[in-house]
Parts: sequence; C-alpha cells; structure tokens
Amino acid sequence: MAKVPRSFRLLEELEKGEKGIGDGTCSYGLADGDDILMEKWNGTIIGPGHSVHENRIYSLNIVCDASYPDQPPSITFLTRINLPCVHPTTGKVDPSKLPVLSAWKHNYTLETVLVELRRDMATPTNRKLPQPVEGTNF
Amino acid sequence: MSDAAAPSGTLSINVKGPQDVKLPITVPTGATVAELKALVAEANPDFPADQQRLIFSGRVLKDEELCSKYNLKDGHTIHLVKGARPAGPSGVPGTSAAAGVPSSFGAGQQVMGNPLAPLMNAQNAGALAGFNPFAEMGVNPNDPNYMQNMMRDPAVQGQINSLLSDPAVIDQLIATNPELAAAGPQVRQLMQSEQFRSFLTNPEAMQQAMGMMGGMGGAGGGGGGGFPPPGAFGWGSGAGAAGAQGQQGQQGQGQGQGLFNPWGSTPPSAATGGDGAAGAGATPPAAGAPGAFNPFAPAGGAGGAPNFQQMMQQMQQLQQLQQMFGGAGGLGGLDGAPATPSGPVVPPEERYATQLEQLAGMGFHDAAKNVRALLASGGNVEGAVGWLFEN
Repeated sequence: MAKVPRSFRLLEELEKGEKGIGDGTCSYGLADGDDILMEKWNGTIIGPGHSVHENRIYSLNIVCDASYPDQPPSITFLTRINLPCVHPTTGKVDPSKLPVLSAWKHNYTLETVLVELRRDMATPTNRKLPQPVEGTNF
Repeated sequence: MSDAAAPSGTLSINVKGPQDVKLPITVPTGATVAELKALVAEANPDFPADQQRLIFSGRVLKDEELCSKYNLKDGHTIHLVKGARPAGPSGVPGTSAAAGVPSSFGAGQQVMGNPLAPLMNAQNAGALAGFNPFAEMGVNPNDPNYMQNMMRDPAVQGQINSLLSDPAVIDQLIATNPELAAAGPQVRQLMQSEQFRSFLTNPEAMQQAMGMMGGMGGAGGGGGGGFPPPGAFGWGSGAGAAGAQGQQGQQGQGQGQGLFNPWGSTPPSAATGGDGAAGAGATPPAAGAPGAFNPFAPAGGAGGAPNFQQMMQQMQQLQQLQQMFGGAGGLGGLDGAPATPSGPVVPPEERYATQLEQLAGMGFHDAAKNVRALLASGGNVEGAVGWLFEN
C-alpha cells in the first residue's frame, strides 16, 4: 500500500476534525491555522459518562513532528487530570503507558489517540480515580 | 470556501450535540461565541446559552471571542456539550461549584446554593423546640432514602467535614446551646473527632439510624418529642450503633453493613478515645424507662424540646440497657432487627487498603496520615483528599 505523505495525511485529519466526523466526544484541530507544518494541534476530550470525568472537558496539546505518522504524536494534557498514563505535574502522556502510543501503527490517527485516551479514562480501574478540581490546568 | 468569509456574510455551520442532536445554524461572520450560543439556544431550547459548551477544532470556544477567531468556515461542525448550570451569580461555566471544597463556612453563615443551609440554620439558631429541620427542605424526614442519598453526595460530605472541622462553627454551635455549653469541653472534643465526623458522613450508619427511627417511631409515647437537629440526630444514632456492637469497644459489622462506629471503636489514632469520651460526655444523670429512648420520634410528641442533655441521657440509658440485655441483644430487640454479632477487629489499614493505594498513587505518601484521613472521611477517597489538604 502506498504511503500517504505526512502533509496530505494531516490535511485529511484536519478536515475530518473540522467537519466533526466521529462521535463528537473528541475534537481536534490546528492550534494555529497558519501553521503550514501542521505541527501543533489542540485536542479536547469530553469525559466519558458513568465516570468521574463525566461532563468534564479535557484540553490537550498534540505535537505532530516531522516523523508523524511513522512515529506517534506527543500528547500533553492542559487540563489537570489524574490518570496513570499522564504525568502528575507536567500533564505529559507517557507513551510507554498507553498502548496506542507504545504500539503505534502508521494508520493510527490523532482521533485514534484521543478516543483511546478517552477509553483509558473509562476503564474500571481509572474511571473512579479521584480527580483534581475541575477547570484547573497543568 | 474562502469567499464565505466575507465580512458581511454568514456562515452555515452544524452544531452537533449529545444524542444525535444536530442543529444547522447560520451565524453572521462577525458574531461572538456568546451570540452563537444564543442562536443555538433558540434552535433548541434544551440547551440554554449558559449551559452550552461549544468545542471546535480541539478548543473550547470562549463566550467573548469572535467566531472568526477560531477559523470557523462553512460546513464546519461544532460540538455541543451541556455543562452544569452555573451555581451562583458569579459562577463561571466550566468551574466546579460543588466540588466539596472546604472553606465556604466562615462562622456558620448561610452560603447560597448550600444544600445543607436550612439544616445549618436549624443548628445555629438554637431554636430547637418542636422544630423540624427537614420541613424547610420539603422532604419527608421519614423517607429512609432521603438522608442516605443526601449523605452519599460527596459535596454534602465535604461540607459536613469542613463544617465540623472549623472550630468557629463548633464554638457558635456550643454558644447557642446552653446545654452544650454546660456539658463542658468534651463536647467540643467529640465534635471535632474524626469518628464523629466520619459517622455523620457514613451513608450506612445514617441508613441504620433511619431504620432505627422507623423502628422506634411507635414506642415514643411521652418521651422526647420533636425531631432533633442533625447534630443530635447523629448523637442518638451513634449511641445506637455503640449498643448494637456490644461492649467490646471495637468496630465491627453492625447489621452486617461494615458500620463505622464512632464510639465503639478505639483505633490507635482516635482523637477522643472512643467509649471513654462518650462516657465522659454523658454527664447528666440517667433516668427514666427504656421507652424514653426515642430520639427519632416524629414531631408532635408531648415531650419538650430534645436537647443535648436529653441525648446524653438517652445515650447513658442505652448503655445501661446494653448492660441489662447483655450487649448486642438489647438493641436488637429495641431496633426490631436482629443484631448480628460484631465481627473481628479489622484494622483500618486493611479495610481501606484500596483507598490507601489510591491515595499513595496520588502522591500522598504519609501512610499514617492517609489512614487518619480515610477514617475521618469514612473511607471516601475524595473526602480523605480534602482532609489531607486541610491538614
């Protein structure tokens, strides 16, 4: 299968993000619309229901460097969250603790990452973790 | 697409909400996010503007910004989430109003939006005669689920915790109650004790208390009438719990519910020394028949106002009763429910193993302090975190 160049791939993801394809629980887009390298992205995750995250909105920074999509993007939470894969003080997601990042595949997308993060919040071990006060940032 | 951004033009966007709500909205290009929200609220009244949270392109849209700032274009989709209603006039959407953050109680003054406010007023007013603190709240005090639900609410638990940990509140409570003042320093100690607080915030204990209330309702007769204020209520039921668990001075399984007993227990970190404090607090002489033990009789009884002294008498009577009936059996009979023999002593470290793990995971490494926090919160991790921050 032919490999889609990085820029085409990211343009495709950008359009998908802006058109809101998906279930609406995760959203992402370029942090700066003029960023021609399309490196810095914003993401939001709406906390999964039936968990401590319900009704919370988590904002994240996503950086897709030149190696994306061969290498996973780096993810940092802006909204404070207590989650095993998230560094408690910097908010950075530890790639080794999130399967979608540690076993990255070329066809994974930013949406895949956000959806997986959201799923991680809803796992039986994580969904009841005590959380910091809503609205605080790292 | 690019020509849609003309200054005088309009944008056709889709707003996608929960449960397949999809609203096509046409918004002037120069509109602010607040104006956009107003349009959405018009299109779907289920989403008042102040409860909308709009997300586009990985960002939460801010009310005061222009839509154009977010590069909104024709055909784009905004996600709509219904947020919590702002709690007060100054409430900002997105900030948590009911996170159970302590500190809202200065000296017991009423705080807007506080679900316990009527209760607190009842306590602080000192006007206890025949007063039903639940009447103001429009609930049936006999509803066994009500108290339980209320107590399950972490916000309420946090408030009770913060309330009772504030010496000023206790001072005021004692000052407005001559009987409390007369009972001496033990009262303060007792109220500040972690066990007392954890009892108040323990749904199971409350549930049992409510159960007792139902069971004893008929036996009241000429005893203490009137519905006691929440503080007294806690006392009475606490005494009951002590009875149910016999004299071994241990915390066990009252009715098989893992009930936490503030008086019966003597954990190493106990601030008040368990039974000793209860005994010392019960200074007024005990008198009267078992029938008089009815702290929970619904309002309308012939007796005077229930006060602290009465509660203490009742407690002591209960202790006597307990001796008469030989421990657990006594209360079992009164309660109308079979009392189970108390279980073996389970150290808090063991009972709260999972919670302790969670606390350690959150960076609270002082294990002894964590145990105390969990005891204070009745095993509720959120409450324990609140306690740890406070102390």
